[in-house]
Amino acid sequence: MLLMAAAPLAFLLLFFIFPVVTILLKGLAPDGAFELGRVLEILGRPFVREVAWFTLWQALLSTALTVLVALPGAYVFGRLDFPGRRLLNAAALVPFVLPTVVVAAAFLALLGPRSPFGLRLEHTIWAILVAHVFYNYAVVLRIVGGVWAQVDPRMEEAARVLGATRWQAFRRVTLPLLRPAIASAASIVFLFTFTSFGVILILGGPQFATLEVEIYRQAAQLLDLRVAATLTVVQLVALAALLFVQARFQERGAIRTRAATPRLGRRRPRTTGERAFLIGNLGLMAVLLGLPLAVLIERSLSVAGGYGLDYYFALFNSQRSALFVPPLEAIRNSLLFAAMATVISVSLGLLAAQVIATGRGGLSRAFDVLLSLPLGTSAVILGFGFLVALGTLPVDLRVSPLLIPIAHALVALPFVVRAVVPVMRSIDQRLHEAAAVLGASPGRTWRRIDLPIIARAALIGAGFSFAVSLGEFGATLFIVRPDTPTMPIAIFRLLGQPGPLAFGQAMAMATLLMIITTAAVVAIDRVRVPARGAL
Amino acid sequence: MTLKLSGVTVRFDSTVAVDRVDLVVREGERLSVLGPSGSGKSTLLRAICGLEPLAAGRVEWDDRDLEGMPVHRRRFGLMFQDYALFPHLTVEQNVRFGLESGNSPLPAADDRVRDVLELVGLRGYEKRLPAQLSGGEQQRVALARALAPRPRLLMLDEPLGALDRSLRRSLLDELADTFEGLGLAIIYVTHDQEEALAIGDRVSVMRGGRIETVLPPQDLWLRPPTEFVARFLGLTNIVDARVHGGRVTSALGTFELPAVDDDRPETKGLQSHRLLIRADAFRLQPDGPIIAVVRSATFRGDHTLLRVDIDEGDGAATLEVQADWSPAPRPGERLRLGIDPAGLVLLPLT
Repeated sequence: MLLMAAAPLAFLLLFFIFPVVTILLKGLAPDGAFELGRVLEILGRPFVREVAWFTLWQALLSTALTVLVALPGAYVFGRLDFPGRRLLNAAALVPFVLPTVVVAAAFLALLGPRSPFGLRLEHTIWAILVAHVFYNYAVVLRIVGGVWAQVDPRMEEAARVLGATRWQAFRRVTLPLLRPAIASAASIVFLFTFTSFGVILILGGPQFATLEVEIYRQAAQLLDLRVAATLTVVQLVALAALLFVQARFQERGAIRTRAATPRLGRRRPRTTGERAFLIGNLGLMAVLLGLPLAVLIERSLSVAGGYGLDYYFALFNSQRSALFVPPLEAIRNSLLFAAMATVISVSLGLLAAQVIATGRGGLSRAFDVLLSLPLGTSAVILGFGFLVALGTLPVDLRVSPLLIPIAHALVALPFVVRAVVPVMRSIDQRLHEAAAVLGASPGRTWRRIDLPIIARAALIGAGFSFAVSLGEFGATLFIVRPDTPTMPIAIFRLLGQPGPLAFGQAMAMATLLMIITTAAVVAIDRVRVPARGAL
Repeated sequence: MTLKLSGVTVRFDSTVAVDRVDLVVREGERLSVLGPSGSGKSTLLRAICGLEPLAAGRVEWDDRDLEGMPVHRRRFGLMFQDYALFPHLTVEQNVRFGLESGNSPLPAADDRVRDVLELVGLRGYEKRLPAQLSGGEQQRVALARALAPRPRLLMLDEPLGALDRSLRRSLLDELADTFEGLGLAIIYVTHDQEEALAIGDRVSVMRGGRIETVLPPQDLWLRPPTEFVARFLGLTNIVDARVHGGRVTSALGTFELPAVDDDRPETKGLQSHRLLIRADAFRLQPDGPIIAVVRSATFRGDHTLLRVDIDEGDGAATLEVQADWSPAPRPGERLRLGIDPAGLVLLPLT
């Protein structure tokens, strides 16, 4: 058991704990000794307060907007049945799985200087808010809609029979029953928007910065590692507090309700009002979720005097590239890194999951907590940590071609573990005992009994890893070398170049990344195990 | 104060759940609706409340069509199957819910909550949540909640369906007493014949969305009008028979039918029928025409229920016989039985 724990443990210690601790030390004790005055001086600077305040209020506003906009959708998908419901429910998840860079590129296409509708909202708070709603809509739709389908519709009917109007019945009965789900979804959206990086960096322009963006600017552009480290401490403390509150919320408040019978749970809209509501909401979703992606594709095909594949061809032509290397190489790099990251995260994830699923109390729990820590950090912090810490080792890992896959694997590892552990736990212990009695060694038992059962879960974890790696931006931006860009990095660089060619290439590259990511996620959906599916 | 349904029809997509139902419930009357699950009983209640739109027909209260009147204005009480108590509200808040939605001022609401909780015997439970109550207690809260806003008609959907057998018995008596004291018009839906007969002034039997019959409980029990109703009431001794004049002939012999009205068309001439023999119509009779072999005997307290095999001529039949003589027969014993014609009911051929 300890042997199995050794590899993932070493991996986490070297590539997660060590970098994060290094930053913490740098932030709190920049010159080797703890200097509170110095820390307070940095924290007292007006721009730090501004950044912290902006990070907070944009997250609050984004969360409130997302909940408001997605709540009617949660009703429609939780309560009503209509042709194409399953397909649309799956399609609504697409924005959530898209890389942030693709989302930012799509909104730049829709709202930016080359908007087909003449909108000029780039570098405004509105662009950021709309992109956040777009990105997180599915979180509220899935979580609240899922619970809404479980709330017994007779609760609302009972209220109606007792004299409550539709609105009163919703406010006094349904809403309180949905409140835990709404709180849970909102806290997830808040976490995502609080740590928003790519969207703010690309859509917000120079005047907007969250803590994440500011850490990146201080470290990578202004080269002030000390300020960046101090901001990281602030971010880590905020995230820890956030996760703590979230965990407390989830413990309390869950109201047990009887699961609705399927026939009563979802039904066809019957009144004109219900039909209008359904159609209106589907229209809203088409505009909010469909339009940005449609415009992204349209812009990638729109060339002088019509439509064509010119920008796609330009991606394969190094002569006309605005990057250091042919854009084609970015695609190759991304696929290669994603494959490597997948191998690393799945093999380490399987070992770790085995420890968590079958280990004794203390070890299992400690490992579980340790492995979910990367979820509570941000990609930017990981990248920053790699930059700061890995240069201090006897072997400078920063030049290793494995560095990017390792960073991606670190981000993906918690997802793999989460996909596999429930399946492992569901394996009947008596199967192991039966195998042992029949003379199988533990290794053989694992290969013949466990592996076939968990293979599907592992496959899902692999798909997640692949998709996460393809879209990873924050950490990669820190550690990428100029000659090995990934697709998100290439898109980011192309968007920073002037001229229609670079913009068109960015659109084309973002479209390709969108297609590859969606394909990976659709593939995951196909192998979904019968156990409860993750979001 | 009269509810009148005419031609009420409810459709779910392509299936017809309630099919052209006509019913009248008068002031203070208690109507039981009895039927197997899926017969449309619950849907009928929901249609009366306005929770299901009508595909055809009318629901009228005092000759006023309720079409278009929203659910919350109808002032009908509905006690849901499994109660549908609000899980996030206390007992008191659940009961008060219907008082706050209407127009009654708050002080009166306090009194009313206290009164109905008193009525169902739940004083002292005010601050509890539904999850902290037993099934029987939840049932009482649901009743109190439905009664609190003084509905002009109370509908109950399988109110005892979720409870275990012994609790059902005692709560059934309690419900009957409560209703007796209220003088309220009531529609009581159940699949349990005992409940339907105990509660209803009249009992309507539903089958496949249609009302098969509406009769006072005694008539329904003594003279079930169709084989479906008879079997649903647990009366299963039914054999083929022919009628000629006032006499009925079956494999069990030929009997006078005192209750048969010779003007009824189905008794005219030589016609095929079905004949119901009530289990308590059999008599132990040394020269009786029926030779029966006891297959099993179950002691039921005041009688022993026998399952006997009878040679019907063209094959064997198994009948239920209520033996109230002693000593009770044992399995394998041969008996000679006669029949009291008063326990025979002629049923139309289905």
